Amino acid sequence: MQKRTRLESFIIYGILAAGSLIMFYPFLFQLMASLGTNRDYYATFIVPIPTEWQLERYIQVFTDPQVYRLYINTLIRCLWYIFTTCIIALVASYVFSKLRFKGRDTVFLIFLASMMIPSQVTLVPTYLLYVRWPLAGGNDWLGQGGHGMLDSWAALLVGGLVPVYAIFLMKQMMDSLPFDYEEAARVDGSGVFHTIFRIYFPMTRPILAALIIITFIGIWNDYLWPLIVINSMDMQVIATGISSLMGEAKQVGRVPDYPSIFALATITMIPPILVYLWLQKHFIQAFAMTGVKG
Amino acid sequence: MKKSRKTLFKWVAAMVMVAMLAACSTKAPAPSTNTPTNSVGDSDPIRLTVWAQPSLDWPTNTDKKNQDLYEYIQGEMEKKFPGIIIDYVGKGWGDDLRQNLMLAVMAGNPPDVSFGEDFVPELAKLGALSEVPADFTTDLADGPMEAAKFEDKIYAVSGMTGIFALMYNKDVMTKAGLNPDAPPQTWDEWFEMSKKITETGKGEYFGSVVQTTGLGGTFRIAPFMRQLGGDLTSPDSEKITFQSPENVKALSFLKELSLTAPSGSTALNDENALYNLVHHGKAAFGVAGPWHISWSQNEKCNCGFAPLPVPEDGERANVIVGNTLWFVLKQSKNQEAGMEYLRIIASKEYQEKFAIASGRMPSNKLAIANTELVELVPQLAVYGEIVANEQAGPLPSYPKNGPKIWEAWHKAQESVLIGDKSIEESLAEAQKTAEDLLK
Amino acid sequence: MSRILNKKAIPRETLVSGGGSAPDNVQSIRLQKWMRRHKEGIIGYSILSPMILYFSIFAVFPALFVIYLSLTEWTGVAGLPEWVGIKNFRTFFTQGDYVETLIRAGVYGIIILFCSLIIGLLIALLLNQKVFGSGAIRTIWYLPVLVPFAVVAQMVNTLLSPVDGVVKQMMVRFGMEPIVFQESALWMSFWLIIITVWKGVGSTVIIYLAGLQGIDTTLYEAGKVDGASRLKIFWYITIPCLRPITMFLLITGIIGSFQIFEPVQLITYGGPHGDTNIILYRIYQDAFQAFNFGMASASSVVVLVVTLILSVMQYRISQRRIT
Repeated sequence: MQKRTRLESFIIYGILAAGSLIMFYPFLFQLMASLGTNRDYYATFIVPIPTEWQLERYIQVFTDPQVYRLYINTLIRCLWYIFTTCIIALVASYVFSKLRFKGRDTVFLIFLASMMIPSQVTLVPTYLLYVRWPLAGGNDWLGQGGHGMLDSWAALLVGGLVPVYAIFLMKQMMDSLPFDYEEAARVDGSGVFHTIFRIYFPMTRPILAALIIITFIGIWNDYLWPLIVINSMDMQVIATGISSLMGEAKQVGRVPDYPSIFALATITMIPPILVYLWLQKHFIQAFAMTGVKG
Repeated sequence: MKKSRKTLFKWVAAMVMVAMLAACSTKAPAPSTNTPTNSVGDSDPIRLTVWAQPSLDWPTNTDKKNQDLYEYIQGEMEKKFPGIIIDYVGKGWGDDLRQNLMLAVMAGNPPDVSFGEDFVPELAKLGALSEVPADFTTDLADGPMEAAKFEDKIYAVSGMTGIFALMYNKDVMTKAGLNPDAPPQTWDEWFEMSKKITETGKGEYFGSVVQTTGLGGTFRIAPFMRQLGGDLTSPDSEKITFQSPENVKALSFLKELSLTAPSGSTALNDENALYNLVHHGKAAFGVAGPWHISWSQNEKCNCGFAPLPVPEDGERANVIVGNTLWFVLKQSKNQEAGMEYLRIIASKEYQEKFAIASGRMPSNKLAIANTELVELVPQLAVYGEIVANEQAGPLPSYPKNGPKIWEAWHKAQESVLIGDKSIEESLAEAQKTAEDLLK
Repeated sequence: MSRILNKKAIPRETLVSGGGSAPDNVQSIRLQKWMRRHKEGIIGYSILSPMILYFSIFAVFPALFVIYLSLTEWTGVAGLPEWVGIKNFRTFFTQGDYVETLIRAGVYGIIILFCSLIIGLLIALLLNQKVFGSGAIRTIWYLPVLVPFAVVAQMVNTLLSPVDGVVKQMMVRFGMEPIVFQESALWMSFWLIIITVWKGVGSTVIIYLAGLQGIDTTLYEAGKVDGASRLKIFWYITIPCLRPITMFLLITGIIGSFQIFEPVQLITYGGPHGDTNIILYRIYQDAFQAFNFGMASASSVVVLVVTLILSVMQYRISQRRIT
């Protein structure tokens, strides 16, 4: 390609810098506000400049057993969903992509169709389903008498175990792999699961990386469902817990301590950012490999 | 053929589950008839879950006054239920609390005891609450207890109550050249003073804050409608009276008053930020309940309290507000302990202690009469005077579609006070919606 | 499925052949043959069946239950759902702000979609130009996608506060008359759109970048050999190559536009006076604030039907374009 002229470089960098600044501004604001005092916050011009740096707030937040609990709970959830999503996506996409049998595409289409349903739409029946789950949480076999899976780990771990988007992405990837691998495996008489985990697993790593990122973000930021199904303080997750902690900081009858609020906000953002940075180099590759390529 | 058979099968299976689910959810909230009664000497200590904050702050606050109250409740409860463990859980207030409670009732794991303000009749109607013995409530004031009844049965006890007064920031009045000890007594005076303060303040300080949004706004609008003889419904709550001329007049006054408010404050839906404007000297006047006494002191405001200004052709009237009602859920397995908890909350002893520690207004008549309380919190005398001299009742509870009717009213109230819609039109629209919903 | 059913007719044949152990034998041979012929199907269905079962319980059943509930009136707390026929649907189309919120969701969705597509494409094109620090810039653009909306909402509410918000303070410093955004539906819609685009545009950038990297470089080489200008190469090679991706983003985006929920739930609460309310928040309000499950379900069914129609339409259009 021809060399860029200076003007073109200027325009490219100008747009990118300005855009990135806008994108990054709220984070910068939040970080600066969390390090200063309330007075600095009120004196803000564009970005609060801390007059005295206060790191204690972060130390305080990190040593708070409640915040610690939120972190652990959410991490357990994230790990569980990453594990199940990857396994189920691999196995199901193999079936949908490499095995040929009647009704395969119909099943896949029905799975796909469910992606169109906004989760809020089925929130009520899903909630009732959990509450009236037979033989759970004091329920009898008709689902009466107790409170079902509510307020238990089951409520946080049972839903969404057939991740359609993940199966879809993985199937796109599998479709693009030549059938030769499959034939070779069959000639060798290799078992289904052996084929999946020995042959396809290594080839689909970028997609798995993308799935880890997407799942982690999704679960880490999940708010509405835990809000509805969890009452107990011991089982709160980060999104609901932080919201109520922030709410407390803004309670009627008190001057809100903005730096604390922003410190809380900052610490909730760190883990997803770390996960992204860890796996990002596979991320674009993953999308390029699947169906969205040109 | 094959496809339709498959679908049919699925459909039948689903319908069976539907029927099951529906059946289950009906039976679930029914009271268990064989509620295990917990008598003295049970081997296992009872665990009572309470959704509330019965004291000034959570048990984790080690402040002495705060701890004393928790210890008092614990001690009283132990007399009948030795070793009882009480778990206090925070589930918010207002709409958040209501939503959490309804979901928990639906699910079948509500707390044993909870508090609330405006939704006792609604829950009672659904059969979610246990009836309270009448002898618990003999000493409680009638006004606050009105919101605890449904079809003439009592379902809750009032732990504390409140009524509205005018809060005025003396420093701001002085700065604007007004006599800080002569708060306005009529609507006209109030408006004139407010206007003058905004003019002299030149953006530094303003006249009055007017809360416009949601239930908090309605609470502070209703007294003015009632002063003129208007209200949201007819006295028996059967007929909607949104668009009465009295209501129109009250809203037009508040609309005018809101023009003297700090810029942008009418759009605030954060009560905390709104009233801190008065506490911090950005505004002179605000409509305030008794909880503002200690709040304004915490914010170091030189604030005074006076009865609400009255219109030319009106009378003094008010709304019961900040009325914490305590109830026992019917699904609770600790009915006796729950009721005992309510008895303690309603008692003179607890309410006195609580009022002295918090500066809030007790609803127990014997506790209000306590002279020590007035000495400690002299501002409460103003509120006492208001209670004695003003007609006051809670906001209405609609017999049907309550939340949706409230939504229609809030929309009208906000579009009048924040937007530029004509008052008559907005109210007529809300009236029509509400009437449809009530049918 | 049907083939399994057909094979059940075997016993008649075996009767004809007669003999003591012969039927078993014939049957088992036939079974073995059948098994061999359908090996993939058997493996497939035995892996899929737990998933299908799970899926019917956790996805199909709630969807069907919503349809049933939409024809009833129910608070969820007490009593049976009471059958009311199509009353809720009549309410949807004649009363309240239901239709309005549905249309508003569509309008917001389309604006958000186009903003994201244009900005996303622009940034992806620039980042594809071998710029210095492209990794860092990419990360910055993806950052908003990573953070919980509950946290974003806190931040936005603080920044836009009509009394002490930073945006207001800045307007005052610049000598402007401060605008009270919360009083105006137009301004709040503006902020809703800005925030949603800000939160989501990172994904669009990544997907476009992936698409750009997937374009065959020999096409560019060929273009250069032919002496085409860079603008021409862009117009005749890059843009057509990106069309499938744009199609993909459009399809998912339009369906997604009815799924905007959190910005309204956490930032505007539908206000001022209900003028930024959208259908999903309306459903949420009906279900979990008014506990009117019949009405909430009826609205849900309408949303389902609309998304279904849109998806089919999109699918048809995309098929026609490609062929």
